[in-house]
Amino acid sequence: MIVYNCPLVPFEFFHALKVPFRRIRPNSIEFQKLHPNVCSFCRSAVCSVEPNDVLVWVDSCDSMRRAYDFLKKTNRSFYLHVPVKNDKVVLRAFADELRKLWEKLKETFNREVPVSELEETHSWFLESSKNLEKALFEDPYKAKELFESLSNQEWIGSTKKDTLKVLLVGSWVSEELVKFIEDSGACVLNATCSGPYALLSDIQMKSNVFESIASRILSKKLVCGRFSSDRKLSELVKSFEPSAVVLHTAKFCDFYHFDGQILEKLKVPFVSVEENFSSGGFEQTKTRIGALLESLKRFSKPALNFSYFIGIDSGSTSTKLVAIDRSGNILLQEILKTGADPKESAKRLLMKSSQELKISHEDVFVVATGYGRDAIDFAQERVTEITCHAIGVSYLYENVGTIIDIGGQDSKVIRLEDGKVVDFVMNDKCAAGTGRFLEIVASILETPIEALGEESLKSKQELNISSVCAVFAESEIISLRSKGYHKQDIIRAAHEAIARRIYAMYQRVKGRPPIVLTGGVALNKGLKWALEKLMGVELIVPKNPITTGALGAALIGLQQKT
Amino acid sequence: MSKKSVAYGKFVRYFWKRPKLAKEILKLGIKLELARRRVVANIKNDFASWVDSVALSIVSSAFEGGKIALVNLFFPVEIMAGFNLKCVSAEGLAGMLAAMHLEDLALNRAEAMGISKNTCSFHRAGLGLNLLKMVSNAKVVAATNALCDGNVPIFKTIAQIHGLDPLIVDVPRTFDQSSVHSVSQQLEGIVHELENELNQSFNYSKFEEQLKIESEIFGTLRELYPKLCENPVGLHLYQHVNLLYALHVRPDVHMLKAVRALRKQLDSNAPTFKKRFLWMHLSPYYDNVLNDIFSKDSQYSVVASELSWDWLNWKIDVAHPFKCLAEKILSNPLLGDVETRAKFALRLAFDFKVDGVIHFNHFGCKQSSGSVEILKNAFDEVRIPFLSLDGDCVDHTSASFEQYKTRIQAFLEMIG
Ligand code: SF4
Ligand code: SF4
Repeated sequence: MIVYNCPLVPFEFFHALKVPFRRIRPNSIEFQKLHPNVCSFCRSAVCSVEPNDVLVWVDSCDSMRRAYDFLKKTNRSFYLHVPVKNDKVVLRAFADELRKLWEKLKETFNREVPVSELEETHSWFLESSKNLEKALFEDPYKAKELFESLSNQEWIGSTKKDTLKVLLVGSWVSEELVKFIEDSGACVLNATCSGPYALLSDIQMKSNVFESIASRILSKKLVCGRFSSDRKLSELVKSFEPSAVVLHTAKFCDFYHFDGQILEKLKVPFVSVEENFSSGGFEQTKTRIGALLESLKRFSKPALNFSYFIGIDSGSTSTKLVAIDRSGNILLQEILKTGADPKESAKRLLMKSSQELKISHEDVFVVATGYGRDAIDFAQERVTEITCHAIGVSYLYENVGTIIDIGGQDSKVIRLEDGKVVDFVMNDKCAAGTGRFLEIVASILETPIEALGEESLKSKQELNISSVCAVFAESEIISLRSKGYHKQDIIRAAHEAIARRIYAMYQRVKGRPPIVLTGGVALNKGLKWALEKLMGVELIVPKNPITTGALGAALIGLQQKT
Repeated sequence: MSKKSVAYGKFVRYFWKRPKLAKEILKLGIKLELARRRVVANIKNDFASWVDSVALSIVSSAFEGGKIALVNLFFPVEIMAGFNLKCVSAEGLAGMLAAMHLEDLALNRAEAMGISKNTCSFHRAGLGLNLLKMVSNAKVVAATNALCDGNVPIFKTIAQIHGLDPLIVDVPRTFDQSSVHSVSQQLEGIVHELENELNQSFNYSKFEEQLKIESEIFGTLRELYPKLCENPVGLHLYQHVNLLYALHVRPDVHMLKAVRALRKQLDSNAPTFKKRFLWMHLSPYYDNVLNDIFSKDSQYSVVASELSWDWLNWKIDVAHPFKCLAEKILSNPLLGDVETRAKFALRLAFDFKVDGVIHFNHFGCKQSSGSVEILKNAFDEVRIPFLSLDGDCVDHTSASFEQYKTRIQAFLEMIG
């Protein structure tokens, strides 16, 4: 069996030699010998190589090169350098490389295949990929068939059509992600390297088959991010007319972030997600994509007859509940620790509120949000916390420009225009810029977390904690402490470190005032002070900054009534 | 890298909201520091002082107003000499910002464009400072994919910022005749392209002159190599970074003075070190504890840095300039598979008689960190202690000085 790593391989060779072949694919394990700096897709996908596989390995990126250093020790393997540019000089050199590879593969598999057969296979490949392109827009079922026969890769994309269309670009996406988008009511065109677009190119057959194959590989319709030529995303967007684009990159893949600029110019709604294939689970990715799709859909279910609307925000630390009536009056706000079972906590909170308000279940419409929203199966609707925060905050204040939400485990910055989300970022899966960071500070300095704000305002000396990473900062704090600096000054420095992180996120979404600060950490006056000092604007903190997400969820329920 | 640079950075930051003024202050600071380093070099006339002054002259060119070519560390800078363009490396500029603790400004700017925090901070900061319009006189933007392929999209985007087409040299991973042919033809192609774009004919004699200077620089280093292995010259850790920048980006007449001074220095008394180390890949450019541990006067000394010797075997043939430049790029031991790199590193380790090897895993650098397991095994086999140290060369906020310290100290204790 031939195993290849990337669709930049000469598929024609495998077909003409009639050797079975397949592509590597990620799974839940990771290759421990490759340093964690290496692309997470690569670290995970190389684990699918079996000892008897013969590898045809393209140096598509540094990660793949480094993986090859290990794999060639265990497997019979062939390496192919694919140039990063496309001109006559490199094309000829590449064609030469291909010819050498062809000879080696023939010898390895003991096949006497004349060049004429390779030419036929190549022309079949070109013809089929043209048909594939047509089928992509007209007949996805046929496209699936063609794609699978050309690449021996499983089809990852939609076979159905829908009015809401999502274009996926960037690095390898999984069926799971496609399924998630389809379940959210959209269809998908996968133009990442796990999809059909990676096989299409713009060439005519040339007299020398190796040059012709070289040219096919170097002149892809949508070249991958490693090439020096431009990615013609705008043409793809024009022909597919997506409702939204998901720019999907693997953690430690450097090639695709630049697409964001093109998409911004095209003014097509899009979201960037970075997937860590090694860590499994992709809650953040789901939240981001979910929020984007929600902003495109209108919440317009048939009129319902409910008198009360409850929003439940199931966060990683606490579960929040807000109940409103048909006029939007807030009747109740409750908070409970989430604990190990988010569904159970949400249920308890709902029961308690219903009893307090003396209302029956039939009379209540429940919308769930937050990380635990999917677990709350008794909710009639589930919406991401991004959308909910936007709606909740906009209900309280007019013309809000940006929301900064700092929660226990994550933080987000959301930019609004006319109450609608136009951009947002969430921090990565680390404690930097979150309440967790402050918990660590509080525990090292033996100060109750609620007292951090007041304490830091008493600071008299400016100190610097340069790191925003909680693990690193911890050692910095310990070292400052051992040098005898005052607790108050260290706390202030910690607040300033978080503020820097948040400010970078604010700049990333091109935030603008008025800014509303929400989340549990919004009550920390010291952090508010540090943010205001850095940003040069005053921040608005709602009376109850913890429940704005739940309020938004309740309001979404109310919107559905009308 | 010094406390002085950090203090100056603080001053520049104070004016940051007025970019023009901030840039002027930065420019002035660099100019004064360069003048100081030149004076010191002329007076002391020693290797380290000349290297320090050349390294700073690289970044200084970005602010002097003369025409420059923005390149990456492995671009054959000799070509630009024929167009009278000074080369400035994006990595060097990123290092300069880091030395002043100003890198966050550039990193945040790149992040605002959507570049992930997980991308190499040399690339992010290099892009960010172009987005901040800190470099205004770039006439050419050129890069190779030789060491890492993240260069291609980064330099493509930097070129766009300057309204230029990027010049990219594709470097195959094996040294053979067809690779030499392809690279030398690409280089010739670039010369023609530049002649058209700059509307300027290529000055062959300047090009040749540059090659001759380098011929002497590398020839002298080759000649002194055996002596240096016995009696290494004392350098601070950060000076090794200066040296590799100078050798890669600006091997000019001042570097010639550096190697000539080195010849004399070697004849005089050499310092003795308790323990000798080989440094692999880069090291942080901001003021940090590693520079204290491996200072010039310390008992623990980095006696060789991998990237300062990567062109040790390159022989210059002025009669076939493009071919010899192609050979320069292709003969770099870091270009191909890890075995070649390991072999080269082992040779340095044996030649310099080191007691240990430190490989710095710069965050987000796949090409280098990806090899570390195999490198470690190679050194384990010959029983040379090897430390794999994680950190960030540019972003001082994503590094922990305490962790650096603990790991290095434990390593030193282990070596005894
Ligand atoms: S996702 Fe990017 S870095 Fe990872 S294997 Fe693919 S091209 Fe390489
Ligand atoms: S540190 Fe690594 S990724 Fe960054 S520029 Fe250097 S070689 Fe490339």
